Amino acid sequence: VNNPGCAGAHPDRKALANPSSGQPAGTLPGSVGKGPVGWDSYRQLDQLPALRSGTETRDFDSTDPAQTNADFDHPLRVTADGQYVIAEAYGPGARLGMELEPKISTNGVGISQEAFLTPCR
Amino acid sequence: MPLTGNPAYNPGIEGFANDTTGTCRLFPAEAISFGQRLPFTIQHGSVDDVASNYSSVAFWYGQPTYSTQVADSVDTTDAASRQSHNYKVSGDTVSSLSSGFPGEFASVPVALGLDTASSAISFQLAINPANDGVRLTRISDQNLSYQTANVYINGSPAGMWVEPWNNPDYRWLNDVFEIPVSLTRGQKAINVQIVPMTGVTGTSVWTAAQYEATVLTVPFTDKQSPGVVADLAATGGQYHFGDHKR
Repeated sequence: VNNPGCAGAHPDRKALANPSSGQPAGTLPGSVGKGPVGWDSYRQLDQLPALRSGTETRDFDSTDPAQTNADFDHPLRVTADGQYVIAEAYGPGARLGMELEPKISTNGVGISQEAFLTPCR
Repeated sequence: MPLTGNPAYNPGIEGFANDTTGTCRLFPAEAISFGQRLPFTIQHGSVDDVASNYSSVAFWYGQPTYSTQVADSVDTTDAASRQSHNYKVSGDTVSSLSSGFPGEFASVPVALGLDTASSAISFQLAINPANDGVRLTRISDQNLSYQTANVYINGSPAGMWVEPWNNPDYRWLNDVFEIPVSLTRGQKAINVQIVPMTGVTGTSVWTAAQYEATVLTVPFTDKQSPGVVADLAATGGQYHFGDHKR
């Protein structure tokens, strides 16, 4: 697995392989717990307002950081093989992101894209 | 599930004088942090240069059973704050930076002290023992991308903090790291250790102007008085911000 984001991973990472482990049983009195996490956020809309401890939502875009109108060519980084990384996030034991491969031809600009969730080992 | 929608559109026919459109945006998974108000702005035109006639409505779904509480913060370049939070680092560089936070007020410069280091940083923050986890927020300088560090809470590994963002034009960033409840429940304070590493784009330093601990907890009554609002003299310009310190 091509996973440069995991380079330099700390050996203690293995201890974090299961993010749900080590959670104390139960929730605080009066609370309803952390609510749905990840895809379940979309499956359980009645839990919309729940705050989720230990989880985070990240959003990325490739708009112009200078806030003019150059909303192109602003990936987070470009990999050695030319993939544009436009989203990348790290959690315990995993890396999540999306890469685009720009393809320029006489017919214009096209892209192929790949979303990935890869374990760090 | 559609998170954005364009349920109605009229190109300016059938009695409509203008190109008329209706759009919606849902945020099911994004628990957007806010206090008493939530500014939601829309860019009209390619560089926000088109006047638009519109009305909008926002629905906020909340619950009275869960809350967040700002517990403590450390100013990384203030001697007294460093001392009271046992802030320790070696080989760091203290500087000052005046720049903007990206977004609506990007053009408003904010001047803060900045600590830059490539060796381990540690500090202590008070928290509420009755918590369901703690959110650590850093104000960082995003001039260099992929700042990367391992985080330890009271000596236990809490994960890797990676910030991919890079913006040399508007350099300040609010950057969040969630600390699992297993490392924070029952604790009156946490010792945070941040060990910088070299990120995938070669950045080997870690930057911070401030760290703030926000506790996830049950609702509470905030009895702490806000501090005196200073610097309210208007000098002419588009925006005026007071210096509001607790």
